[in-house]
Amino acid sequence: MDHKKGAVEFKNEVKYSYIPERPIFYDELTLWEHMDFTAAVEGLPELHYKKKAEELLKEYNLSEHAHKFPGTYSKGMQQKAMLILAMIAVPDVYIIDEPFIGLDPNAMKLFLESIDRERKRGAGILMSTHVLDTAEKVCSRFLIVHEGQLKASGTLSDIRGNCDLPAGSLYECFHQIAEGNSNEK
Amino acid sequence: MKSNSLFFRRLINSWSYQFGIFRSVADWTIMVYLIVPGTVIIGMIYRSWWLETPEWMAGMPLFLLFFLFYIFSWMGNFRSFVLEADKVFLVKNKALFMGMRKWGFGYLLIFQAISTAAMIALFLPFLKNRYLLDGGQIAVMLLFFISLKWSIMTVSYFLNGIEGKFKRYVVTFVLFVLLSWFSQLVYSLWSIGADFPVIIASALLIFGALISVSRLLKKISALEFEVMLEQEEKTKYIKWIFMMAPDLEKQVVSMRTKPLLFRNSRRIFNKRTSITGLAELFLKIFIRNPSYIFSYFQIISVSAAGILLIPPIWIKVIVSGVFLFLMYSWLSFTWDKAIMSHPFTKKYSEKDFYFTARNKTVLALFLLSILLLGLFLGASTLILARFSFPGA
Repeated sequence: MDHKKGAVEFKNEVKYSYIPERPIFYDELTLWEHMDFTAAVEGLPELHYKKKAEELLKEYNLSEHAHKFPGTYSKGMQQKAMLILAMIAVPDVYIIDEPFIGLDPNAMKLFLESIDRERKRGAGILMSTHVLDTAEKVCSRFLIVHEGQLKASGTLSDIRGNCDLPAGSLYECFHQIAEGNSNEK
Repeated sequence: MKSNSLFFRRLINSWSYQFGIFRSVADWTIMVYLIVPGTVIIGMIYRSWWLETPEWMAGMPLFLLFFLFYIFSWMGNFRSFVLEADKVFLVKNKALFMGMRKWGFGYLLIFQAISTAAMIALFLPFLKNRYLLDGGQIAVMLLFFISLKWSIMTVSYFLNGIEGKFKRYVVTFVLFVLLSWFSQLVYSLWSIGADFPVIIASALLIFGALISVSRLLKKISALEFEVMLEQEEKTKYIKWIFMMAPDLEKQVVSMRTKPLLFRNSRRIFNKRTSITGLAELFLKIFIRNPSYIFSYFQIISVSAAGILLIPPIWIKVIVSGVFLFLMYSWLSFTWDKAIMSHPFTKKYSEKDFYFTARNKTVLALFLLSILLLGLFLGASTLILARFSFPGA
């Protein structure tokens, strides 16, 4: 599929955090230094940020690894480190690409709890995922994209209505919407 | 498929891969203007060595030539021709996998024996005409160096498996010294015509190497390590080309888990602002990335050498100007490469503080490079003046 061009516009002073599918770090910086940098450029108050960083590291079991290079972590640890870096900035919007890949069940539970907490704080969360069962449980609105085209949008009931499956799961609805089209190439 | 046909297929693939690398460097112009005439000239020089020993060879003791062969014995590794995907597929067919490795190791033993013979053949005119050695003495020397090479290849396999760079260097160095003493002993025996002990020593070395190799061939657990080794051997020539191309910046991958400098994430700037945060990020990347720090000192040292060694003042001025221009552009380029092209920092590249941090950091490193160049030039001038070297 060809790349699609587009623009994303944010309102003024809106802070966002992007979590890519494949964790990306600076090879030369420790996890703490990544957080320290984020705190400095985002203008987070020193004491508040340090307290929050320590809490997050403890919650995600990364306290002992904070002064190591995240490039040397396991895949799951890297994913958790990316989440911490996103959360430390206290963003208004999260953009998360395939968040469930590479997380073990405990980390997944932690991630969902953290996301829920952030949602309650008032942050917007935009996730892109193929894990539709989990998405159905945690998301309030959906955009169904197939072959680069927006095919349906709205709440689960809207999607169900759209594809005429009143009791269907998100997975079944997606399949229904994509039916007749070829599988992903 | 049989293990031998699998091995030969991979061997041919490996040759065509290396040939591709060669072709990427040597296009037809280089072939026509450099390689073909170079080969003819080298052939003529070699022929002249047979007719008359060159003057530079007259004062060279035989021992030095022996030592040169000793150093040559340290070149060359085993290759098992295993690929990354073998961990999943080929490993299931144990007979095929082990058979292929056996062929690979056997091929390398023969290949290295032939390369040792070729090395001695290269110096054969001197061995026969200058040092007046007879065929028997040369054959014994060849036998010793083949046995030594096979032993060192086996030892190198284990040396490559040592974790920790420092430990590996120390063990390699100690072994290099010990084996050079052993070679000196062999030389002293061989030079007085005591061939028998040399043949016995060679036979023992061959026996030891073959026993170790047969043990290695039974081991399947080193698969991961052999894949890495194979990859290193495969990319050896590419790395050489990179090394010989100074304009290419080599990205060095470190295996460290913690930083050496500013441990425990210690800060450079205690006062935290957006500007110091971004500057600190870049400075730490710069200091901890060997490619960057090496290039920085390379620009300084090459310019200092140019300013110091080329006599006319106007050239010194030009070199200084080039240094200033080159250093500033390289620092700016390095900043953009490190910060602009990374998703973690890219999103700040349109902020005001980004430009302030960039200008201040690049300027600081630029001024430091001028200071270092000045210090280097001052110290070199003082040393040269003290020893009254011409041009100082």
